[in-house]
Amino acid sequence: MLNAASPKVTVDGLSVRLTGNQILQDVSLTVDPHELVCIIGTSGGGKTTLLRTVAGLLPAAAGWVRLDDWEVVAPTPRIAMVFQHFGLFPWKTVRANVEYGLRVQRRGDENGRVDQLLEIMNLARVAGRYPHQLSGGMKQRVGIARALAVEPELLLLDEPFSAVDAITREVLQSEVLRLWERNADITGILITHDIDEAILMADRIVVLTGPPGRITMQVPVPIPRPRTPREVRSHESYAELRDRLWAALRDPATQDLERA
Amino acid sequence: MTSMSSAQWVGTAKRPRGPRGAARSINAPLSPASRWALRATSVLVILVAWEIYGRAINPVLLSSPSAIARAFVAMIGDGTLAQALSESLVVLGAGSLIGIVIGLAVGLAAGRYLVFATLIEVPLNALYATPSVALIPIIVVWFGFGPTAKTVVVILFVVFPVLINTMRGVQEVDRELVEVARSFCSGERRMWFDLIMPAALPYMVTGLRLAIGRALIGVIVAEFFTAFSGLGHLIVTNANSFHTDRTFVPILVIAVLGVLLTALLEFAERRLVRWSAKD
Repeated sequence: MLNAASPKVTVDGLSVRLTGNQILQDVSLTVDPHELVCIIGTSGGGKTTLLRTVAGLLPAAAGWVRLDDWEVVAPTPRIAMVFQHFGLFPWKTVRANVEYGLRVQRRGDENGRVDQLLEIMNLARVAGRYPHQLSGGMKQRVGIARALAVEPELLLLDEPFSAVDAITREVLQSEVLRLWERNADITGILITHDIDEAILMADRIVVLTGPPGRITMQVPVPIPRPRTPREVRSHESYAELRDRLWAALRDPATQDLERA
Repeated sequence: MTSMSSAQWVGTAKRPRGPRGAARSINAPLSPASRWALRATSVLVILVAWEIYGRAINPVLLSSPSAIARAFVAMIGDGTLAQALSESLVVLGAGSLIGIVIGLAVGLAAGRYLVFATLIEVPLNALYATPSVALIPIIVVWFGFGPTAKTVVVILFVVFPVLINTMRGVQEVDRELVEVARSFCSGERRMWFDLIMPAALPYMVTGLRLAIGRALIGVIVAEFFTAFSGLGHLIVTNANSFHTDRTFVPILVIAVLGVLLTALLEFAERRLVRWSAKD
């Protein structure tokens, strides 16, 4: 283990181009061990591109991504990802979907981790079903369990709650929050376009605006854990934090309109 | 006027609701018993009308169900039917098998590798657009009148629907799932096994279903043109000698064969694609 002061993830001077377009420009960011950083931004701002590059799915045009002191240039078993539209295999049962990462990485499941996760995520009852038989919330539980099954050091969450209804979203947020507070070994980056979600989940919030995507603000969230949505909303720093994020996210066109 | 009155009908009348979402259909559902009764009625009416009309006119023109049944028994008795059927089935089986294997292999490769797909695009489209029947005389020139020529014809008929559907199935694999597989560090071989094959499977089955129909056409047409064997040959010789009752026997055998093969494939599809949203 490296000393506690060194960051888990280092993104340094990262630029990414996709089909000739500059998507990210000179993005630098660090994430400490066991920190959960939320990246928030308007759509088209390059949030997902940043996450995919950190995952090793996209090449950097300039700069680099490091996990500890190891440069990420391709997907690695040390990183797992949760997808916006769940990304479940429709022809695999819930259990087979959760086992998927362990299978392709040729790892056994000696500790019964799959069973544990099915239990924790309330999936044991539906383990034999196929994804099309599940609600959106249940599908994303499978997505989260699949990512956690490979025991990643870094968990990447790409707007994981945006495709479910509002009530399910709050339930899922609380579940992930509890998981996070119990599990000391994992570091995370969560993408969202929801300010309240960012404040609820994050240790630190990073505002990414674009295109091309640039980091325009970074703020720590001074609300102690364990958190509940109620506590977060009534915390003294909540309103001010929310206003600051709003101001940072408002797109320049709207600001011009307000000034006029 | 009509739309208004039907709207009132929907509003007030209680529509019968069958099991399994039948209420969603625009028709009221039929009970299984009445469905079978209706089916039997149509078959019976056709048979009776055919029998009456067939007896009234020259048997060379139409023949009748009872005469065809007698011919059927006779052709089983003298062994001609069994021999022709086995000759046709061998060609059908071998040609379909080879055509399906080629179609699947080339289709999978073309779906996965854009360079290969682009490479074969023009000749493939040209061959596919040409009615396969037009090529039969050439095939006869190349392969003679024996079973080889017939098999080649069946391969030609079978290969394209399988190839093109398989290719499309692979090409339309969900991009997000490819990303998922890559993010979990899946190798290429696992990707085929976990993702590409299952995603393409429904397309392949569609290709196979089209191929079965075309294979039957292929074998019969090939037997018209080429070999002096098989069900197709039986049809031609009996028609040429005005044995209309004996002409209908192989035709009906082919019809039954087509129905059986299609049913078999539908059964296999239900077993294989259990995960689909259709249940």
